[in-house]
Amino acid sequence: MCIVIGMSTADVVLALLSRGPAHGYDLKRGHDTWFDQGRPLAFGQVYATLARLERDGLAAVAHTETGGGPERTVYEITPAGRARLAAWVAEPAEPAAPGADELIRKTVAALRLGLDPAGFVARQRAAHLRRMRALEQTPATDPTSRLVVEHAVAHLDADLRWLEVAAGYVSTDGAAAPVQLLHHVAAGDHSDDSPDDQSDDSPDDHSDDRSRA
Amino acid sequence: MTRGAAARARSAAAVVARSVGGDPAERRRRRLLGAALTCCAAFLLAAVAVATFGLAGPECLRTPGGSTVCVDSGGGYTVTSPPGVSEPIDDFSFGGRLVPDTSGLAPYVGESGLRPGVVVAALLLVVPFAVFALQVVRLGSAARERRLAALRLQGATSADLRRIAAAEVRGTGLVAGVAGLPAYLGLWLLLGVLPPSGWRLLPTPAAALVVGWPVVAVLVVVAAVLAARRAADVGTVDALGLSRRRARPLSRSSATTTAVILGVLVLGLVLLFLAPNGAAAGVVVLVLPLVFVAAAVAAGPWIVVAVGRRHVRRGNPVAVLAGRRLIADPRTPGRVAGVLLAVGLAVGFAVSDVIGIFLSGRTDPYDLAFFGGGILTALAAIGLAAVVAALSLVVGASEQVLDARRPTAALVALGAEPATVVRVVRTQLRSVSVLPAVGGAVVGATLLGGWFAVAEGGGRAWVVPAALGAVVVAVLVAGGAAALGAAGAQRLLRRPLAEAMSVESLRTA
Amino acid sequence: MTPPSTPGDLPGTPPPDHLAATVPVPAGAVLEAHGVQHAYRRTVALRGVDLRVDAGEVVAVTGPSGCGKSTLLHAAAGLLVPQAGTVTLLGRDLARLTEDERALLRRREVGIVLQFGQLVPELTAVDNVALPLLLDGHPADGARRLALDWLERCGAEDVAATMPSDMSGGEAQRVAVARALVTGPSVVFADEPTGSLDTLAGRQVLGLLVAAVRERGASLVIVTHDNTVAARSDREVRLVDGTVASEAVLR
Repeated sequence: MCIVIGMSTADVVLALLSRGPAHGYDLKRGHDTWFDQGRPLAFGQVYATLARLERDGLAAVAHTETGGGPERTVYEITPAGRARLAAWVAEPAEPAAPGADELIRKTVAALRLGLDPAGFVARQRAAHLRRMRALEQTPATDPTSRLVVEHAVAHLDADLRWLEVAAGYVSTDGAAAPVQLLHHVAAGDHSDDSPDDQSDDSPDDHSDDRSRA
Repeated sequence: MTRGAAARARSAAAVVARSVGGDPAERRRRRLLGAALTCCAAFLLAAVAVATFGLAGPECLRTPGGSTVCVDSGGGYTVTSPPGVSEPIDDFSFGGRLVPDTSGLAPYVGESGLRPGVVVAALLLVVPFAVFALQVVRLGSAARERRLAALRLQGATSADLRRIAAAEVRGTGLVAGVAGLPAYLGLWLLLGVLPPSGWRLLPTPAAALVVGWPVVAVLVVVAAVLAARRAADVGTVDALGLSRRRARPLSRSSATTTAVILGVLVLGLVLLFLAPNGAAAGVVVLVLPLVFVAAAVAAGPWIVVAVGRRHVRRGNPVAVLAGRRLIADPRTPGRVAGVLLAVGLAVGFAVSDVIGIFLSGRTDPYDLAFFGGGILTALAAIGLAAVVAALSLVVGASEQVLDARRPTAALVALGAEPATVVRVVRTQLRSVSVLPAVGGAVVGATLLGGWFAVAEGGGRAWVVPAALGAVVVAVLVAGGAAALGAAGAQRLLRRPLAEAMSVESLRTA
Repeated sequence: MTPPSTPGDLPGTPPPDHLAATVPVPAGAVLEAHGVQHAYRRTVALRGVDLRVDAGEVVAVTGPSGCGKSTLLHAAAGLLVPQAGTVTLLGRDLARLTEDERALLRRREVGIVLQFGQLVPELTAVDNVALPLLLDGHPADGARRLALDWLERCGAEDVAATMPSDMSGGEAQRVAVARALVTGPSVVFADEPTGSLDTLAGRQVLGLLVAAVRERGASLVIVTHDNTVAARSDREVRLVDGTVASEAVLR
């Protein structure tokens, strides 16, 4: 099985690492907690990502735990990794339809980590509006091409309305908020994220998560 | 509908009517309606009191000699003496106690021949109050209209709505009808006790009032309920009434009614002209004012539409706006215009009459007291009618202003100076007050003045200038009073207007 | 409401008739608002807002309900004088103008479109559109001709003789757009102009408004909570709780 590691997965792992040194299992659990409605992160993908982050100098091995069980490597984020993470969140997600997942990742990361979430929402809003404006100005060549544009506009509008909800969470203290945000997406027009019920999330995970964040 | 269903609907209507009583606008509406209906009842009772004065039947007295003396309906005496007794009987034998005591009353109330005129005057005074009450019943205070529309949306039939509307005014009407007697007693204190002897207008309350009271009360309730049912008709309130208000143009049936009344008026005038001294003429003279006022009130809306059309043709925006508003709902201002037309006509008569009296040389004190007193009283009654008409104008205009608050605010937003909006309302008010009053005054003064001129045979040089002068004075008096009334109405409208023009009104639906 | 102008300011203000003549074709800012604050009886609507609109610019003012965007529009159009801050519209400090002068400025230089219910209910569409011209003393014939012309441009010539109560929401808004543009304003203020319309009708009315404003080179300030409306603007100013939360150039 070929594991394709998207850049976004690496960015999320980096975001999770920014909370403190962690080993592969911690990172998988952190990911699945943040995105409990999404597809769980495969172990193979975690380790492949960590290897690549280490290669690029964005993460480094902190130490190796040799407890009762098998040997476990604990990674930590490097200054270069932190810079890369900040740059990732600062840059609004591409507002096209394929960017929807990325939009959720960035929003959740910005809210969870407190990386200027208000600024993030504002920048993302502007990016979406710009795309919408460009689409609106596309001359309609034939009726169906206009329909395609309308579909894209409707999706952008849905994203924007979701972002408005997200902006509402900015002011409130919300560790649990992103979870509800994802529910919001699932209930809304976005069906491209088929919700799996394999989540092993529990309230304990949550409190644990918050204490480390 | 079965009896049970009807009863349930009626009780539901009563619940709705009761529960909306808490709304401040509704309370205000009911108070206004109650006041107007009470005044109607009081003046109806005044008509009853004056009409029945002296009809109590033969009053009999026993003389010291043992004879029984009774007054005939014809004015003579019937003396029944015991055998062997013969007494001289004359008018003064019993200190005047054999005839109704008219000593304190004004001559036109005391003299049986003139009394019907006073009765007609009292009935005429009911008209402005009735118009006012009608205005209040029709008052589509936004909340009330929304409520009726919401009920309609929930499936209330038009019969249900009429029932609810009837239930809403029934209680008020009943209270007003009952309060008519105390109100009449107050009126009597004011007009029958307080004035100096010889100026009193109302006789001491008699038994007839006790009979008249319930009749008048029922009459008031029935009239109010009928008016309310018509106001709640399907045509005026539909389910979407909350978002869309339609203009209510005059209907064919109202044209027919107007035409019939005008026909009766013309018929009466012709009768009077053909047989000015016949037996019927006396009745016609009495009924004619009533018919005339009815005709004026019925024709008022048509006059208002005509005036509105003329404004629209003038083309300047203030006139166009005022004209369109008049045409959009000519009914209520039209009735006021009708009352003011009658007021103007009465002023014309009165002024002509006064000038005629002074110039004809009938200046002995008795004549002056008789005619002068009558005319002063008539002018006071005319003034009262004018004030009530002006108040109706305020009620109707403030409703229209508040109804149109969003478009009014938008008008200011698009750059109309507030003064322009005020001018629109002023034009509207003047069109339905000054114009009809002046028109009525011209007609009244010309008619009576012309009659004098004809009667005098043109033999004296001053007759024609005097008639012309009467027209001018009547126009000045009626027009001035109407302008004053319009100005007062506008003053009372200042707050609702300012409210409608404020930017806050852009936010309200 | 009377503007808080001191009598000393008045001699400097030219008489109303010269108002149109003295307003130059604006270069740069058409509207400049600084530190605008306004509170209603119970709520604070604006807590110090700055807004600048350049000539020919389309600016969207967005934000959640109750953020103060309508109040900002009303202050910008001179419909209310804010309790603090200055508003300069077409080079004139609105607080220094009398109410009538502000009305005159709006009549000649400003167009206003509201969400609904702005047409005079007793007038036909063509009379409604001609009204601002008539108020300005234009002869009735010319005003009606120009009004018909604008109704046609706005695709509302079919309802020219119709009363507002007999129009659809979209038709009424088209008439409102025609009425806002008939005087050839330098700046148009629109408060939720599509708020009462369905998507398609709203799209058409908005397209009409923006195209007409751009064609004239006029400025447009459009208050909306609709993202697709905001996306038609050159710049979005987002209000939250009476302050500018963010600004984004979309051009």
